[in-house]
Amino acid sequence: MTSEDLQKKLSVDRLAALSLAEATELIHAGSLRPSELVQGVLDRLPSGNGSLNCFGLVTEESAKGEAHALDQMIEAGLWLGPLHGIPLAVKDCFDTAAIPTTGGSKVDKDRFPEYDADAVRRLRKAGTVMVGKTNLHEWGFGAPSSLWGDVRNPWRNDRSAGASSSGSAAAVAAGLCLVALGTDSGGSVRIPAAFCGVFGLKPASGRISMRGVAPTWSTLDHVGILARRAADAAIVLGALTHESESSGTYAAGQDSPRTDLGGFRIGVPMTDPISEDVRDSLEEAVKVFEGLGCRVRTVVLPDLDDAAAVARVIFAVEAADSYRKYIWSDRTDVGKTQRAHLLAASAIPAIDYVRCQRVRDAMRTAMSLAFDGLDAVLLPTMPTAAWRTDATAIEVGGETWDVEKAATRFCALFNLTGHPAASFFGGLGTENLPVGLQIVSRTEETIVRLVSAYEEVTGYWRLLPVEPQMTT
Amino acid sequence: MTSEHWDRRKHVTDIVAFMRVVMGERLWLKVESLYVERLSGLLEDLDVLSKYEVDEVGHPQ
Repeated sequence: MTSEDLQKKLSVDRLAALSLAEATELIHAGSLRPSELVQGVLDRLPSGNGSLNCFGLVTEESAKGEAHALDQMIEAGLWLGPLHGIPLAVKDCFDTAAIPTTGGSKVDKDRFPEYDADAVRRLRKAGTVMVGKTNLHEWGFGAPSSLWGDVRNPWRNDRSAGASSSGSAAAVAAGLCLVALGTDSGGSVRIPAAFCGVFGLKPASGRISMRGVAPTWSTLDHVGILARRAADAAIVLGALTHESESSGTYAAGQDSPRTDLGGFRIGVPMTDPISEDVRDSLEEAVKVFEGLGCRVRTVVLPDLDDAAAVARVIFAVEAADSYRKYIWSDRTDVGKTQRAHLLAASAIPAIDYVRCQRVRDAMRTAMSLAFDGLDAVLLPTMPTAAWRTDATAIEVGGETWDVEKAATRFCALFNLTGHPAASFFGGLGTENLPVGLQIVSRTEETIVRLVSAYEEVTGYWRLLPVEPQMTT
Repeated sequence: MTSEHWDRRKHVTDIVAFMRVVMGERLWLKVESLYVERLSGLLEDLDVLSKYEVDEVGHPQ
């Protein structure tokens, strides 16, 4: 590597380590141009995406053009707000006008939507620059994308990157964008956030418009945000929810993290079995929050495994409804696994689907009661750190768990109840793999405040996978 | 009819037989094992419903 190449690499790596809030500050101060930031990301993309497979499509030319236009706006004295010039990645189930939106499926490989999804439109208006569409499980469930295959974990390539928004989480972790959009029907934002060591927010049900997000099936689905840290996600949430559709800012995202949490009350439920790594991170987090002035006590939640079972049925039936035209079709580009999932779900009696929804109502009520006297609930996101990509079952606490059940176990309840929930980076475990912890609350503001204070104390959010580790 | 008198697995077996006919043998054989595995998982999930008997307005019984 020549000296010039080395300087360029160091410069590019410096940009990749920036949080969104830090990049915003530099752009606003005139120390960094949107085009420099976007080019820094684009320079990392060929090698980063080559090893991680996290993007299905890179929109290099349009990103460069938009970034230069944003440069010119700043030169003319126009600043759109904290997202001006921020590189964004979008899960490929969000419609993007005139840019392919495939859902990761061969079936829709030539689908060019006419309009942007609401969330994409709002973020474009706020000044973000879309650098690409991220890889996902085909149609958001079941099998890896039939177009692009599986996403690899930036911390270790032989480990799972998580669920359907894994491309978005891996891209953020590897510094291939500063923020990404995902979707979460049973943990699909929080699970990859935990496995890839980033912050993943599932806002309250209905908080962000789902219009233009394919498929539009699910009463469980939410638009989610993946970012390096909570304050970054809060800025994006502000732009996605601001009434006026301006680049609206979000107070919690702009404040310096406040580390005095005196008076906050946090409940911690029983979540055995979990791995030693996860237990250690959870216990450390309890001490951190207590040190910040929080009062921590145990709490009893609705049964997490029952909630996950009910959510799987609801999800499966609603997915079958969305893709019903493919169940009986003789198209050869519908994958075997996807067709089997749809077929199986279509055999579920309507009576049972309705009963699942009634149990969901009962769990909502029970969750409201559990929150009585609490501001937040702290629990693991996953029972272990990232498992091997080829694992079908894991051993934890002397028990064997099917990976699908293990994955949704701590997440699905909050898709049923609609509470805001986020996974945050709880440090590295014994194999140098990230451990994800989860905070649930009544409001996103409380989540951001608690996690921001935790991040300020621990600094874990600054840990990055140095180079993607190829393991054979 | 209440859940106590209703055999979900028998009901689903009838649906599966119907699907096999509708799909045709060639397409069916391609997905049968994955389908049976997936359906077994969902039926296992549905077994939790027996713990949550609720009345017409959702109150636990």
